[in-house]
Amino acid sequence: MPSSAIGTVKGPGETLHEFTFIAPDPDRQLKHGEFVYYTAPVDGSERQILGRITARAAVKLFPDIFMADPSVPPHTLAAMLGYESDATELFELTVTVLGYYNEDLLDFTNPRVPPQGGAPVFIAANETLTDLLSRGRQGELGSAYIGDLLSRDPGAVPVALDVRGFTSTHLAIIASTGSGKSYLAGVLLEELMMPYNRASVLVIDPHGEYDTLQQVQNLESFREHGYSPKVRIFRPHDLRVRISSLSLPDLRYLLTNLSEKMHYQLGRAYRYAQRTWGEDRYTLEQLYRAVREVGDGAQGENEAADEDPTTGALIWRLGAALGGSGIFHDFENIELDEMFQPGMCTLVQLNEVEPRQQQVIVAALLRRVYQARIDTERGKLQRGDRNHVPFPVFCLLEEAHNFAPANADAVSSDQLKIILSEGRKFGVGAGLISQRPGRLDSDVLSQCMTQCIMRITNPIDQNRIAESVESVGRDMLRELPALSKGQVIVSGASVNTPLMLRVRTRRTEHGGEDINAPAQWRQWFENEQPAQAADSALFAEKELERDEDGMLWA
Amino acid sequence: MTEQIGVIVNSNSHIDYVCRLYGPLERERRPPPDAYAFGSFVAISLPPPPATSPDTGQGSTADAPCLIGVVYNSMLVNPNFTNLGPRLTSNSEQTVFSPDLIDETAILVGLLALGWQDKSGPQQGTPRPSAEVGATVRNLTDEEIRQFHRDENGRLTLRYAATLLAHNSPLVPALLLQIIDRLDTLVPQEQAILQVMRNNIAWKSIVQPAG
Repeated sequence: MPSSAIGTVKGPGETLHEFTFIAPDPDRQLKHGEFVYYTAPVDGSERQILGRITARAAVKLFPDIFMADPSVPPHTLAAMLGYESDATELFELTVTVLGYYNEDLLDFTNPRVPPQGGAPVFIAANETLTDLLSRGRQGELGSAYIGDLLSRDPGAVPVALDVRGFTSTHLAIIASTGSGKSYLAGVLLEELMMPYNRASVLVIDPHGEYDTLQQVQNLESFREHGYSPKVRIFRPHDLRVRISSLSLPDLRYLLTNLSEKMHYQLGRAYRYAQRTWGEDRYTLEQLYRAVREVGDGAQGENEAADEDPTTGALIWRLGAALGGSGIFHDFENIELDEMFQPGMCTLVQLNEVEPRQQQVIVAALLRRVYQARIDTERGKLQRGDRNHVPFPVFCLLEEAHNFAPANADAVSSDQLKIILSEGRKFGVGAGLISQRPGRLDSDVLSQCMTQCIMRITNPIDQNRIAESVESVGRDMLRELPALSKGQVIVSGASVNTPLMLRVRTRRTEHGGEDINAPAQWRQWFENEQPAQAADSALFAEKELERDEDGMLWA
Repeated sequence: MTEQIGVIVNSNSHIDYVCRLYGPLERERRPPPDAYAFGSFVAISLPPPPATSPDTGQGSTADAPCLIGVVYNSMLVNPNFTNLGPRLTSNSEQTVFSPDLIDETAILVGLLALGWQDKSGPQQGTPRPSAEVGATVRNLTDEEIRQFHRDENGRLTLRYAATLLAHNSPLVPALLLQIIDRLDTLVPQEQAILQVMRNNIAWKSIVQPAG
């Protein structure tokens, strides 16, 4: 505990929970976001009232004119004029009071005792901050150590998120490209896979950049008493969604440009199929048949029924959307127990999958797991039953703005909203990662109660964050464009107060690196070009052949 | 050691003295105009410390206690200025009929004390001692000016600038510019820092008032 004060209280600030103090700060300790405290009597004992520095203004500086010549430092000029002291600067700092930590409430309580003018202000000790700021404790059950307090030395104040907080009331990671959001997500996933968490996590990975997470299976630090995390990757060609698991909205979403009549007929066919062959038990052929059965044309399985234009168009659309796809399948489906298991991270890679199909896949997956959790919690499913998921799950969605866009309908949007609003009751948590919060549905964003916000420069995105994220104060939002890569503002349910952190180093490699274009171009000249030149030479030597009709064949 | 140029005859404040330059009856020749030019540095003798014997003649040595000042003003005193007549004699006959009258014209210069010198050397700042009426005034040599502008660490110092700037006289900016220009030639190695100071004063006293 530092015994010497670093500043002196000047007086109350602009708002009720602010005060200002004056400090020379020769060692540059009082950074924006730094934690300081004053002491005040609370319930008969002196307590440390913690606060965060939210503004810093100079009240004494060298005159501008002293800086006219860069080769003449202003302090030498001041020394020449007889001012020899090192105390050349003085700052007025505004502090937002957090209060003292109330062990009963597990939160900060503002005692509403303003500091006396002239009272000393102290800088909070690293140990105090480690104890007070984060809900979790590094390396303990239910904690996720994601980084250190930015205003202190690396490692001085580790901050661990409360995993229980963000897995039940959801998480959002918002950052512009290249500011390290995938890296942070990687850190979070590592922590979830640690022996003290052993989470069941599903990652929707539209770019296939989380491959490197597989390394957790081989790292010693992730093992304990026979526990070893698993990482399962579903690549696009491994993905299977059973056609009968698609809902009517899914089908309508996949089939574009449906007329009113087609909508109506598809609905009837869907219900017909479910009624006739049972939910979740029909094939595409049977769906065709259902369309024909409920259509206006000649009844029957034969092609003649397709003469009805609506029936024909609907069947054609179903065939185009589902028939040719390698993902939508008559019988195969990825079972939930293949995807969800404590201590397992499942990566669903959706690169090379068409965007609408991605949305349908995500919607179908989320719907199934949510329903499974409801049924399991309510006791409808027992051990051994299909879709029995007797543990909470956490789903992390990369590029979340594609699955819950702001000004467009997406089939995954509704499902996501259901999980965000109701998921905590049934143990389904969601984590949304987006680089364009401006394009993310604001309802979706505002329901994520833990926010990790990294550098954002786009003003539209900044405004969306300000609208949707209540827990981060305006003063912190002003920092957004100034954050560097790997620096993050964390706020909400998993920390005790909004914090600026430096994300810790990943234990596994980062997979989201950009392609090094200049290096690869150069490599092409060294390796590829000679080979191509040789191929071209062979082609030139080859005589062109024409058949009897004079047709040139390739 | 330079020749004495006059004596203190009055003061307006603790640091603001009036020196009357020697006239023809006190010295064989008047002090040359350079000796009391605007911005010239002078030493005003102080009474010797009590412990020192009055016979040692310290007042004449270079390290004797003195105030160090600068000429910031000059005034001409002429009792005849408003005495327009009637006249019994012409100007040329005046020296014959009333020789004392010539002595009553005088040149007064205003001196601002910017520091002092004691046995520990020259120092800048408001001096603790004050000069007496009749204290002699002499010019400082170039070397003495250099010495006066060095602190104990040998760095250039201009601590009296604040005192000068606070002095309510329209001549002060010009005086400071004059001093800086003089120091520029005396300590050319400190030109950079002096230029910053000079430009600052010039901007405030020349450019800003005209703008």
